[in-house]
Amino acid sequence: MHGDIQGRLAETQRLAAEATAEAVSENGEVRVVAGPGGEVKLIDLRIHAFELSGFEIGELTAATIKVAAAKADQALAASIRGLLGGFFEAERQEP
Amino acid sequence: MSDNAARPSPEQIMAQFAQIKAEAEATVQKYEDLSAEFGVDAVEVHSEDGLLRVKLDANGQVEEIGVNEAAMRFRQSLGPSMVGLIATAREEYALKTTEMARRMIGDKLDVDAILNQFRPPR
Repeated sequence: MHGDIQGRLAETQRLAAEATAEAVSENGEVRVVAGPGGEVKLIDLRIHAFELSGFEIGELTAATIKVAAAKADQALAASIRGLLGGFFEAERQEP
Repeated sequence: MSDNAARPSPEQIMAQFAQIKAEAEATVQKYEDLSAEFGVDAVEVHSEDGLLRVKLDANGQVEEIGVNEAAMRFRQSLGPSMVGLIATAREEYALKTTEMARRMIGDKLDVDAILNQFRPPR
């Protein structure tokens, strides 16, 4: 039993390390790939992003990062629920 | 009868609650004091050339990115530069929160060993 939960915790850590989510600004100027916990892996500024001012690019990038990070957190939380939720469900059903 | 004698009185229970509440409030106050001392709610870093700025919120998430107009010339490298500066800001945040945790819980736990498990590889 403990071996199983340790395996699932190791799997959870692997999911956390590998989880990514992508967000694109409304008009496609900025694309961000983020991991859970606010890690930012990629910021891709498309050519028409440079029609904006520096201030606007900063604002738009920060906003897109927040969306991508939230999506990554949600995806990881769902994965962990699926992984550990099944375990605790099985534990409850054991005689 | 003996059961009742072993049970704490309502006054004793209330006294225990008051003690727990006081300890919790002291912990929150200590956290807030350390947070202010270390400035974890105001981590802000600038690029070496001063053209980019990243500010994190109290949870270590990106709150603001400042881009000087002069940085707009560097079309190819602007995105990667932002990613690098965000990583620098997050490292600074992690250092501060680790030191905060060390001060909060003293030497009861190996804070570095625990937090290193969750830090991204350098």
